[in-house]
Amino acid sequence: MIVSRFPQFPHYEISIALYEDVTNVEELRAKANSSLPFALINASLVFSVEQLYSAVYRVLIEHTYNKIQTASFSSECLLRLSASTKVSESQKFGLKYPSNRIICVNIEETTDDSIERPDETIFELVKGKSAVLEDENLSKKCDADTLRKIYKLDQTFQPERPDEFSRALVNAIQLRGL
Amino acid sequence: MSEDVLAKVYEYLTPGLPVVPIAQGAEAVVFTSEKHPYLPNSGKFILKYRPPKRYRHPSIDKALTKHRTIGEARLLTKLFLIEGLKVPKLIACDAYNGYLWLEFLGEELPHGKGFSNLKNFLWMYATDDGDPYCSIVEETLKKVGQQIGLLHWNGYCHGDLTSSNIVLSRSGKNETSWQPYLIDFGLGSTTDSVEDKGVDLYVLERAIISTHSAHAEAYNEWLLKGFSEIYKRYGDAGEVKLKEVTKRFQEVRLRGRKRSMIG
Amino acid sequence: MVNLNAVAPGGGREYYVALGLEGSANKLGVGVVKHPVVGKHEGGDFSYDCESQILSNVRDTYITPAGEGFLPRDTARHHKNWCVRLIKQALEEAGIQNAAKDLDVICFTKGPGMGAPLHSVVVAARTCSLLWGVPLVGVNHCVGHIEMGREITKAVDPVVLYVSGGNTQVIAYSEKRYRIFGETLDIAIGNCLDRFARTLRISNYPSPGYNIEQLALNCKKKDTLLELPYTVKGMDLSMSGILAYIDNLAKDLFRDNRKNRQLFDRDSDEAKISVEDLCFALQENLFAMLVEITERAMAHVNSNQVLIVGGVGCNLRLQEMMQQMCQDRANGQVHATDERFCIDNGVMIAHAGLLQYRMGDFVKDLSETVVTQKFRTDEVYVAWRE
Repeated sequence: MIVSRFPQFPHYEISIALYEDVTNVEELRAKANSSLPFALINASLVFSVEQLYSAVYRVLIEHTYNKIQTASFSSECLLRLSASTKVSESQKFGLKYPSNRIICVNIEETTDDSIERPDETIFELVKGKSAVLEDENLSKKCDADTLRKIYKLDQTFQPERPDEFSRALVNAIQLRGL
Repeated sequence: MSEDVLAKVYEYLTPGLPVVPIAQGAEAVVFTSEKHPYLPNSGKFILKYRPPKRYRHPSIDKALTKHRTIGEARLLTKLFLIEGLKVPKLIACDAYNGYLWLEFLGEELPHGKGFSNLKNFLWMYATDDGDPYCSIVEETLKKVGQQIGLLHWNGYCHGDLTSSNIVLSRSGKNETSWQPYLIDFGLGSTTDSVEDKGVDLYVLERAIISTHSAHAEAYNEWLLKGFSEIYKRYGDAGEVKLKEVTKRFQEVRLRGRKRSMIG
Repeated sequence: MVNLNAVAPGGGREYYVALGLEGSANKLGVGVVKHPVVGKHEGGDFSYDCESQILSNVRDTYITPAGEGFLPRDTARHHKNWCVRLIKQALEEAGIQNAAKDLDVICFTKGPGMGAPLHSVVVAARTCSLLWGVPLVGVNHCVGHIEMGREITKAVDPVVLYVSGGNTQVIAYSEKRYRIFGETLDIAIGNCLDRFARTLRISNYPSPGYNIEQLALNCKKKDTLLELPYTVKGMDLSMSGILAYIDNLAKDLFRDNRKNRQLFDRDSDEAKISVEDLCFALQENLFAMLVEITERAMAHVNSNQVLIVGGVGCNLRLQEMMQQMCQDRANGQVHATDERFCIDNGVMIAHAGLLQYRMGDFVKDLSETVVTQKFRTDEVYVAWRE
């Protein structure tokens, strides 16, 4: 699990973890909308760390300077990852379609601006193997074709390197809804 | 740079995200930062800020700042998708406050020759120990022409194509091959207008003539060569369009960039 | 080195006197200006300080009924009817008893402007010239505004915003030319305001623009602003779209078109927006665009001074906005003149014409006195500046 704060938003603690071979997907899906305070994201639709964090950045910008459009940070994370303005479409990034690779994202507003010992238990409901959240792990198992469809990147766009693909995703995320 | 503007920026970013002002235009101020807004990477990044303008009504001001910030960001994202076209990477966009985070391009030229934009680059070769007509300069200028050709062929214009808005980047300090990037699309737009393209070419030509008048003829020739190369890739259709643009470019040259109008 | 004393004044005088005739639009202006011969003018660019004296400045404006604009033919007729009267009055007020001896030059507006009115004035100029044997000089209307502005305000080298019924340009001086940095891509701002005034059927007295300014001042709801298209394109701007948009709103308002939700409240069917609100929104929008392109030019040439000339320059809100921008920009300053000189007048033509004359420029053959509707500011060779 990685815990960090964005330099511009020192009062928000962001905890993110990647789990593979998750066994209780159905249980999590059932609880997702109601009782879980953190976001459950289908890891096969996340190509890079950058893509993920750029969406979280967007959540904080909207929350601070505009208004988040969904009920919670969790659902807002899904919306900001999505390329569509429709909330229903953004569910694809969640567990609408089952996946045993899950990324958990928790955004918490704190009164101070320092990271104390991170709470290792926040994601304990997820029964799976903890994996390192890094680009290698993500891009290899990512469903790039579906991502292309979602972000409308047709075949004329042929990135030479993974970071170029990631860049196209970040571009879309930063401008979505504007 | 106005104290008020700086204060506002420092407040927005919080002390956790220090920035250094580097330039001020009519519309925006530019800073560099060593911290990334949302990744733990360190490096160098650009923050472009459009401060509120007190002279205009707040509702016009807010709408305009948002619109312009998004407009520029959107252009950058569209241009990125054009194969071969080199523009800075968009890192983040806060349209509500008028901030754009961009990748930092370029480097400090050796021997204190300044930042690696086209203006300083050509200046560097024009000084005593440099050869202003060497192959590196020729190759680089042709590449610049190609970038503009790609931009125009795909239906965009830059709007402020001076030699300070072209940044040269290379893969290593010992590399001799430079890649030009077009930056600052604050006045850019999508366009089918031959006039807009002619004006783009004219503005750059004038910029080169005014700062490097001794070698301007060769330089502008190389630029046009690179530019034409792109259009020529598209057969007859390309040739036709190329003729249109160059013809209009000549016309703009003759009359200056402004059309003749009724008084 | 510019020598403004190259041509000596006539009649053994120690000063120059010029008669100026202006009639490119609906204002017919006649003025007489005196420039003393001053040592410093022999070397250096002091054309912004001619120590000029305005001996007379008379004007008559052709004002049409509310809701109507002025047409070239009628305007020309007005100028023909008034010119003799005004010339006599101007000469008398200036104390000129023998025009042939007391005048160095007769200056007239060569262009740009409306064809027929320009023509009727030049005929008067030619006649006087032939009658008195006094040389003629054709003056560019915009350059007249600029030089008068510089002289009155003593601004040495400002960025000039020239805004009137027929022109909207941002100008900066460089190497013997007044270069146009930004301008309108379609109509002039004064024209935009005048046409909206017609839609609103407000009085054209003293001028439609003035009445729009007053209505805008009386707007009660300045905090909320009606949103209008904002059309700056690079260094230029366009206004015909905004005019069309706001004309439609005004027409809907007058026709009581309840379906227009911008104008009428959904539930109560009451008008949410008044004529004053429309005028306020139009001004705020148009002026913001002008200030923006002016600021761009200032950044380009590294200047922090602005001179506003032309009829629309009388507008106090425009001056206020420009001042705010200049202040925020490295403590700059705005210079403006009052309605005697902002609005078209004969004195500015006399003054600019005299500068031309003093540099040796005057008509050698009457064929050179043909007027022209199109005459760009940058076509003039500014011999009197460095």
